[in-house]
Amino acid sequence: MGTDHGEDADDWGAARGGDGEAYGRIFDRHRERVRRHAHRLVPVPADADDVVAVVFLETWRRRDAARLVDGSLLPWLLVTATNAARNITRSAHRHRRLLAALPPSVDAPDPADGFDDGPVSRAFRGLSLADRQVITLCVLEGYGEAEAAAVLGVARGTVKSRLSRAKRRLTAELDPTDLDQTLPEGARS
Amino acid sequence: MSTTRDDALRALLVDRVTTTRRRRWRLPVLGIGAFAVAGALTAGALVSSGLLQQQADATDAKTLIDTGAAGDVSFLADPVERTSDSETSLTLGARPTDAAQVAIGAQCAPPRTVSVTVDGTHVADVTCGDAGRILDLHGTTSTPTLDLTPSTDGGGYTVWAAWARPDPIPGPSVQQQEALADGIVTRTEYLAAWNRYLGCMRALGHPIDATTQTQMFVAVGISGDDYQADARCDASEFGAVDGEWQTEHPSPPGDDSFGAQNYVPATDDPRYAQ
Repeated sequence: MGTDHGEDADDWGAARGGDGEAYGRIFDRHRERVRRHAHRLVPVPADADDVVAVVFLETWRRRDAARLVDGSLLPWLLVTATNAARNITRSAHRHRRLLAALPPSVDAPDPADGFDDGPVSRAFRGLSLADRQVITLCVLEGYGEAEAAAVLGVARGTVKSRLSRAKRRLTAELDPTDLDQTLPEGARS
Repeated sequence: MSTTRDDALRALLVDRVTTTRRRRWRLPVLGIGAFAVAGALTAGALVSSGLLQQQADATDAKTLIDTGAAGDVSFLADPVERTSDSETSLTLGARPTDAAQVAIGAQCAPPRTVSVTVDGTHVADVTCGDAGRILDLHGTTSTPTLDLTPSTDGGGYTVWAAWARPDPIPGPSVQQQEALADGIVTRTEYLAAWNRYLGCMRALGHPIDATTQTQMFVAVGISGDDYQADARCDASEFGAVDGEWQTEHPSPPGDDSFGAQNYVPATDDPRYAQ
């Protein structure tokens, strides 16, 4: 995906060697993509910012487990975001002191204003974790099945089958009129 | 454009990476979570909390299982956990009625195994970071104590354990295995697997309203109430056949609607159109 592959691999290697700026470049490169995905997963923008922070903190903390796919760290970051958003309160707990030291999110709407995130996003959040992972990677972010299989650590056939099931479930959760609405940004129909 | 928060987070990350190498090793705070997916407990599967270490909280493990296990494992009591950097022990709560098995898992830094002994008898070696295991504790006391010994010294580890009852996801049925045996899934086999799946769902009390499938890939909606039954029936009757059928019919690049078109044997796939 894109032209980040070689850069991620080089920067990740440098970061593992203690080069903090290299990890900063990875953050710069993928921050917005991760934030966009986080917004799909959590309806409150301030929580989405916490998800972004948790993703990069956790990716570094569990750096030995992280996988690059075609030299890109982005699929791994997206999978981490899906996991983190599942229960952001719990996910953020480990890093609560660090998160508390960060400036507050800007332009965070008052939840009392009734943030409307649409039926498609709500249906997406109603999927199981496994279903959200494959929908994220293969439908919303456009990764191929082989790439999704690599980052999830499963067989390619498993991704295909899981994707079919996830689509069936997503379809069942939506009213037919909802399908005319815009899918989460970047989604394929 | 980055925000003030983004800049602060970036600086925090850079500092974290830079100082990691220089930091003297200390006993880390470890968590319970991160149970791997698929086939981990006997023939069953635990939900994946995926990639995150959770804070050491016994209720977290129970929540992870309860919210996603799809009936694969049922905790019969709240998990108990112990964090240490050397030999230690963990005492389970009172054995629930008829309980005989314990789910157990471990997280370690650095990675290694933890030997588990009960009443002086070695019962298992738990590999840190793997999904939980099931221990059979028939005949032990009502509140057994697990003696834990890490395979190597140095570094910390957390072990969690809970009285549990495994409800494993079944493996593929004989019919599904036969369909896969020759390495080719035909259209007949594909639809037969799908029909077995529908029959399985009906038998479990979750009938799916599905009309005759004429599309390349079967398509029907599954509601949340049907998820657990779907997981079982998919595993036993359809999932592997479906994966192979779709592998045999790869989507053309950029064609996101592939599979929704009607299947035409003569043009789509004469080799498999039996």
